[in-house]
Amino acid sequence: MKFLRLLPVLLALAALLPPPEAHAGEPPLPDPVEGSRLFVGKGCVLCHAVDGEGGKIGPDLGRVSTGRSLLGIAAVMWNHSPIMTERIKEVKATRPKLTPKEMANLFAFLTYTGYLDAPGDPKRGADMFRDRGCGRCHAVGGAGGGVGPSLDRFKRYVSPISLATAMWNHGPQMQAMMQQLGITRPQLSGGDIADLLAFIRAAGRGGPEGAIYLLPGNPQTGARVFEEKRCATCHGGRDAPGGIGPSLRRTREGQKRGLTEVGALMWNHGPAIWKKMAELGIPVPTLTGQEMADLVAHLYSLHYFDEPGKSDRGRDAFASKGCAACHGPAGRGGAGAPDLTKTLGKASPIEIAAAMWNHGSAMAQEARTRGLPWPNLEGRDLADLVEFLRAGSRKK
Amino acid sequence: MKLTRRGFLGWTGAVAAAAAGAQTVRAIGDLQAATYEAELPPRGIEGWVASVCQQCPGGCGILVRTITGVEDGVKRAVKIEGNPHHPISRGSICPKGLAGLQALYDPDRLRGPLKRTGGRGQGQWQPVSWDEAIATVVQHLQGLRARGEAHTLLLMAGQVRGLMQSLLLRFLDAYGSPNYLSTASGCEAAQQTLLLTQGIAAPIASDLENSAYILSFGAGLLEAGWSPVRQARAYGHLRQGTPGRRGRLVQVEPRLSVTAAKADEWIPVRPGTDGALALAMAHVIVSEGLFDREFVEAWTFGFEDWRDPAGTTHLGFRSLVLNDYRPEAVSAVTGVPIQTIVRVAREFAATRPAVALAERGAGFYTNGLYNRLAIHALNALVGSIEIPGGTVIQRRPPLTPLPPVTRDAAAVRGLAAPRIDGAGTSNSPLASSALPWLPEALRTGSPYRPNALFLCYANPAYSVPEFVRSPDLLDRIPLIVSFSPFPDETSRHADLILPDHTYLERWQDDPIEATWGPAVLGLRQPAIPPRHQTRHTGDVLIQIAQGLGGAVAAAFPWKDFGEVLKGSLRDVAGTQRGLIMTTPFEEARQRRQADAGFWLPTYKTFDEFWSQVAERGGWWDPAYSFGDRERAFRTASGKFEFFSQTLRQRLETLARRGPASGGGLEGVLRALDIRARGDRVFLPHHEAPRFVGDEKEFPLHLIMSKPMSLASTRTANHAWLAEIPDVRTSRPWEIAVEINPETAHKLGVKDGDEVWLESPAGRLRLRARLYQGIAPEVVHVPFGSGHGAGGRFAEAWGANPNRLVGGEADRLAGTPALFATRVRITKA
Repeated sequence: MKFLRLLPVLLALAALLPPPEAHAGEPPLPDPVEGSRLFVGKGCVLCHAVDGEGGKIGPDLGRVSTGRSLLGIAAVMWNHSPIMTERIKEVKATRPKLTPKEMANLFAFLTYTGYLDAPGDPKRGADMFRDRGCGRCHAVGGAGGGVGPSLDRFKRYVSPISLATAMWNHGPQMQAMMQQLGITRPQLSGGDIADLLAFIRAAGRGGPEGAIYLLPGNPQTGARVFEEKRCATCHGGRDAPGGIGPSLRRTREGQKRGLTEVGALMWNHGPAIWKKMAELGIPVPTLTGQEMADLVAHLYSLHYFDEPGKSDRGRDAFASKGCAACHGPAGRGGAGAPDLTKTLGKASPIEIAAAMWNHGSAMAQEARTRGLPWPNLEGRDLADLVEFLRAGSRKK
Repeated sequence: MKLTRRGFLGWTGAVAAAAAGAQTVRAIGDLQAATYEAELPPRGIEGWVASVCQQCPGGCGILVRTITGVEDGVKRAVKIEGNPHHPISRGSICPKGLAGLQALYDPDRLRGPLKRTGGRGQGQWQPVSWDEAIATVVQHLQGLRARGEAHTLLLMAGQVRGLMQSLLLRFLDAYGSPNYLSTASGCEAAQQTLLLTQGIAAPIASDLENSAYILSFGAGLLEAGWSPVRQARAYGHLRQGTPGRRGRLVQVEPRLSVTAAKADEWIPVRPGTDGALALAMAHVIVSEGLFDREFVEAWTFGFEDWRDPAGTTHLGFRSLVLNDYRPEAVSAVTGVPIQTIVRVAREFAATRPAVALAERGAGFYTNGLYNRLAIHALNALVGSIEIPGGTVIQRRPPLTPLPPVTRDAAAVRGLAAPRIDGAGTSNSPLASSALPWLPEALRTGSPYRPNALFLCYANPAYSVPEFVRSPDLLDRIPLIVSFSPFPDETSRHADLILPDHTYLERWQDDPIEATWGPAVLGLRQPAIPPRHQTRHTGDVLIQIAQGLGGAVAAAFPWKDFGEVLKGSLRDVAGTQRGLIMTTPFEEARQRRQADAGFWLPTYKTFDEFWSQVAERGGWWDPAYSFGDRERAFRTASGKFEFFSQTLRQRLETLARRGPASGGGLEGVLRALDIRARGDRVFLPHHEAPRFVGDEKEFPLHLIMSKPMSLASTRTANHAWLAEIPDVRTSRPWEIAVEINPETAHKLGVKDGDEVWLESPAGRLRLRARLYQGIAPEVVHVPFGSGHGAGGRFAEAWGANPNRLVGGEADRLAGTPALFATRVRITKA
């Protein structure tokens, strides 16, 4: 039953980083391109910028943390709803209404923005190449060692995924050679792989012209790769923890796990992973660049899923946040407020997010009239409230 | 009297106020007259068409508002605005762009094919059918091929680019002529600068808006440069685009131009000495150790003295500038104070990123190419190559290549003939086209007499000085075919005029050139159906080729130009990069995505791609990989070459060819009038400029500029543009000669006097305007008006200063030296 309750969430929201089209048999994916158009078309851009482009009234949504879950984003929008209404009036704009589909596309756009890593720094990459021993085996632009292949062939790739993939696929041989040559395995962090690639792209020689871009990863495909390559054996699947390796489901609140960070973690933990796989009789899988992109997209999308809330915590929050003052202690309405167990009790999280936004202005007005403080919510509060309303709807 | 910028602006404002009232009444009447063909729009349905302007080479995106009459069903273009999606102009537009309707509704434009009935140049014509006109051309060209004279077909083109240029070149290739002649001489010299230093035959582009310091040698950034709107936008960004930073602009030229007036500093320089000034600045930068040592050591060749494989030591750039270009010596040559040279050099080196620009003001002298090399060397010294804010290489859109041409025997024989202008020989070893030598070839019949000339957006009888003075030279060509939509000077000498549509009536690709780094492909599409019996020149070329039959026809298998265009865009759609032109917001998102290595298209099929391109105005690829040195340096050394091995190889190859050069490298240098010897020939250096006219008899230098409203030679018939008051004198409909008051006083000339401006080549009667902002030994006349043909307005006002320009050229570059003529002034 738990899975069935989550199913609408998974179907509607599992994929935030879609390729141009969904795979056959799967529902249409939220579309970040359409979301970006909505951001302009609905007027969000009048107040907010994304990565510097757009309005300056509200915060730049590309620079504030983009590692929030769906309900986390909805909660932020809720909390700022009254002040946003005021600002919208000041700029003589109209507060936009959003359908759940539009809301999903908009969230996909905001989430996708965070998926994109910043370009690397070639100077840092050059230092790394020299100082961490890469240049003892590999050459770039004719300079470096000849033990391993020249890295010039990566010159055309703009995404560090290609390099991260090769580092994973050739990891065991590289490890053996490093041991043989007495090279300490370098540890990588955050943007190191992007820096290394930026150096290769600037200093590499030869090869055909033209940059190669990848399609953004598809988290649905990535989830399949995660299963097929047996990553789930140790790290757990969508619903079950693996237990052997750490769970990859969640990072810290507000933290995202970008592409190069995943690549760096796979490199750092490579020897331990291969050892455990050998013990379990699992062959070390090789990945294509697109599989790696899909896998990273899947891992990135995990933070977007909210953990199921607790109905009893939701009941408490419903009371303490003041919702019960209008909607009644069980959320069944009263004092002119609607029965939320009916309107939201069976809604998907994205429908709830859309409803909260669309009715936010009127509710703020009502709260002011009644002298009630505007309740601030966290994403977790919202998950609990959703669960509370769902429980209420089942009791009918 | 010292003229400050504030004083200058105040003075021009006062003149404007005085003149404004008198002009208003006249302006209204003229505007009505100019647009009488554009009937008042009836009740109708509004539409907007995204297209690309063609009033100058800038390639700005436009939106044309149309009204389709409810009663008569006729679609009319009623307004032109900037297209906010086009990255070059972002919704902005210049006066020429706004006045584009006057090209479309020009009352004097040609309405269908014409055949000459009177003598050459007499302007007597009779209409002919398109079939008859094309059959006449085909018959003549077939005769040439049959006689083994395919090479005697000349094709002269102006600012033609993209697929249209590809088709013109393809026609010559299949037909068998090596003679593609370009009248775009500024492009030629700019390409050679990059070729000699970076091994790439393309104009230098600059990332102006991200620069913190622009040192401009004669670039008309705020007038009619390569792309006026783009440049004006970049200037705005330079000034205010980066919070906390206000970029500086320093303008070097003999006259306080609009750009100089808006600059932080104007440095007047003696004509033809820009290269010396740049090298003196290099002296300061090198001697004080201010250059980018890391870049110079890793990515340049010939900075230090060097030894070749044979053990010979060669002069390096460092030694050259330290020995030859001390500021005190250069100050005497250029007239620029030593302190200014030193201060500006230090500023340029200390402010990153800084960029040095070399444009027509520095390039239209006999030493133009060396000037440009010296100026570009400053960019290498401070490492401003392939970095944000520095020089960049204009990327090209990935159009599907046209299929290869299979040449028949006649084509092979024709292509083996030498070019008629000697481009690539000792006439002009670097040039792909050397127009200054065409008049001599026509006069002497050497190396051969041309038998046919196609004119495609070229009007040499207005823009090439020798043809301006002697248009009858063209009459020596038995068949001249003009494709001009307008009755310009050269078309008057044609046998047939096969008028093209105007740019608001036709399909065309428009890849930008020499403007910026990213590849931009605008789509020009008809705002309204053709108004007259004109025909797309691409279609006509295809029809002529198919009429010729055989291998020529096989090289042109298409139904029309539209089929070529659509086919060529297929690779762009499938390239998996770039985006349909869009809003700045979406573009920023896509740029960030591309930076991260991803590409997410907005279309699934080619038809979707095509319809989005047509709706938005084009495609472009905002991703530009700065720092890709391998791509930036295609020289023998794989580096920026202060010592140009390309130049050395070209000249030594010529020297080896023997008699034509008159004796080895020395003969080649003499033929090219290069005075330097030894290694200096291959290094940026100051060649003393040559001028036409004896200094005592003709004591003044003539320079020209292109005002914003007259950037193209085709806009003089647009009355709206002529109505725009001159930016300095505030007088519309006037082209005057600017004289320094000190000089005028000596000559007894007062402001407003009629004077004769004379050179050894000719004379013009003009009104004198006194201007403190021009050097005493220099006079200035704007270029673009004074037509002898082209329509009722074009013929009614202004003067063409090319009439005075002597026959000097930058022989190394193969470009006319338009500023190398001395003149004198006498009261009329």
